[in-house]
Amino acid sequence: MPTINFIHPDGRPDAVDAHAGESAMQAAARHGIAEIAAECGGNAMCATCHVYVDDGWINRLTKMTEDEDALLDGAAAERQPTSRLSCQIAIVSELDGLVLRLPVGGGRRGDDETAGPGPAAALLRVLAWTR
Amino acid sequence: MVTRTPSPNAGEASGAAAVQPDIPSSIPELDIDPFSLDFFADPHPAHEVLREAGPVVQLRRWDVYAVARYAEVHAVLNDPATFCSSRGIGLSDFAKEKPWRPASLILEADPPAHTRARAVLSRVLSPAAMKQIRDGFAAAAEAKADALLAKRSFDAITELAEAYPLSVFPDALGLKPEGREHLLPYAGVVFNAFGPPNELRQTAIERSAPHQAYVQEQCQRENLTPGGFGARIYARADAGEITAAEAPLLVRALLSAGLDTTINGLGAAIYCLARFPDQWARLRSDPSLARNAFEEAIRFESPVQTFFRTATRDVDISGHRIREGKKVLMFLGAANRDPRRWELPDQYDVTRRTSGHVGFGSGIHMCVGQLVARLEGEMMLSALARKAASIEISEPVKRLYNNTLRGLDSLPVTLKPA
Repeated sequence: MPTINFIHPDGRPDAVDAHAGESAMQAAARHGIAEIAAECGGNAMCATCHVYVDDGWINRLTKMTEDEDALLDGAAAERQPTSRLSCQIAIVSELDGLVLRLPVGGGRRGDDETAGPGPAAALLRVLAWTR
Repeated sequence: MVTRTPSPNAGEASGAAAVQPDIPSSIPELDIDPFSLDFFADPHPAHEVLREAGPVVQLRRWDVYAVARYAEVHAVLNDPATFCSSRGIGLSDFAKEKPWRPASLILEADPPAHTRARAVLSRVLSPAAMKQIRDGFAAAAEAKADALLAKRSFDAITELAEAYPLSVFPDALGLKPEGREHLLPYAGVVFNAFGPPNELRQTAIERSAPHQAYVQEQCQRENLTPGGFGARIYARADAGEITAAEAPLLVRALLSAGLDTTINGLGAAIYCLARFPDQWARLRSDPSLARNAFEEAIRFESPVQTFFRTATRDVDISGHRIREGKKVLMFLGAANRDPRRWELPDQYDVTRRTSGHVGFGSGIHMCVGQLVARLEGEMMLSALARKAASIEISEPVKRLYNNTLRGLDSLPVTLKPA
């Protein structure tokens, strides 16, 4: 089972077990990573699952599509050369140990810079995905 | 005029299994009419019956299959090759019946035609485009909240849920000032027309001529202000991404679906926050929850309740055979409260992780205007949460009756300033 290491904006790491075949966003959602709002539920429409891929990993991911590229231009947090949408990162066993940094304030537009990581209740809420 | 989708390979069907010849069909048959006034008055008990009867049910009244559990609704939404939209997403089958208006290039279309039209609207309504309109939408929400607080008591449907989107969206689209009174009646017709041939649908279509005439004229290039969403659609036509003949129909899509949906979403959010004071208090203590409070209201009330698909081949859903050409009704509102998917589904919780709800649909037809809806919802709720101490329902509410939309006709409230 591949592990993804999410790094919160304050530097706190969160190692998450991912299933091969799901997206990094889905793994984050299953574990209640609050910065990944994923408002559109993984349909590549909203740019609220924005992450910064660690330098050592960025070239090991599949190339982004034009759609993802355009969406990242509208992400709430500043776009960087390592920016990706986590719903477009398909987890395979080769990505075991992948390091993804979470943007300040989360990917969600509604959380401004001062809003922090969001309510504790949301952090604790771990929802089982039906599928 | 509507072409059929070729049958895909069985392997392409993600949610639905390939047909196996010997599976017995024991699909429960129910007498529930989800397009009746009784149903609209309180759909939740019937939603539970639909969900618990089985993964697929048949509705005798309209001779259709239906899915009401989250897993099956999500699967049907995400398998557009098997469950197509080009034969109409209402009860009417475009393969057998002429649509009441020229079919939509996006809502009532399948790939590959759909893909091109969708790409244009996705770019016009992208996250980057939202950044450009955000400040204007925020200022309008502040002004609206101030005006309503000065008034104290008002109807939150007409004076808030309708008034705010009407103050920002038609301008963003680039509509001329004259004739805007046709917008809401036109949208009402569109959403009633997805239903069966009941009185709501027939009456709406009978009265639709003047509204259709306005919309057709307003969708022409010369009637759209430069810089608006409408003009940007025509710019994409100039760039060759769509044809000149397709541009007005894509503008029409925004006119049809861009107002009533956000109005009922905003109405749902105000209705929730007025009914559940603890959630209003939670939002007041952290107005950055405004966007999620709106999203949770979409899950909780599901302003768009249902859409149909048509099976392009014989297919099994969770072991139940659906025949080619049959309509399948998806209960988005029931899926959004399926206890198999949601913890405490009947509670409105502004801190809930809402990702994955199907209030905006899912897959290739997922609401292309969802970012506009969220922007409007966030701005209006944030302004109210910062400025108002309380919001209370002051007189009995009146329900809106529409074959597809769930919302209120009247929601009298009283605001107290913070």
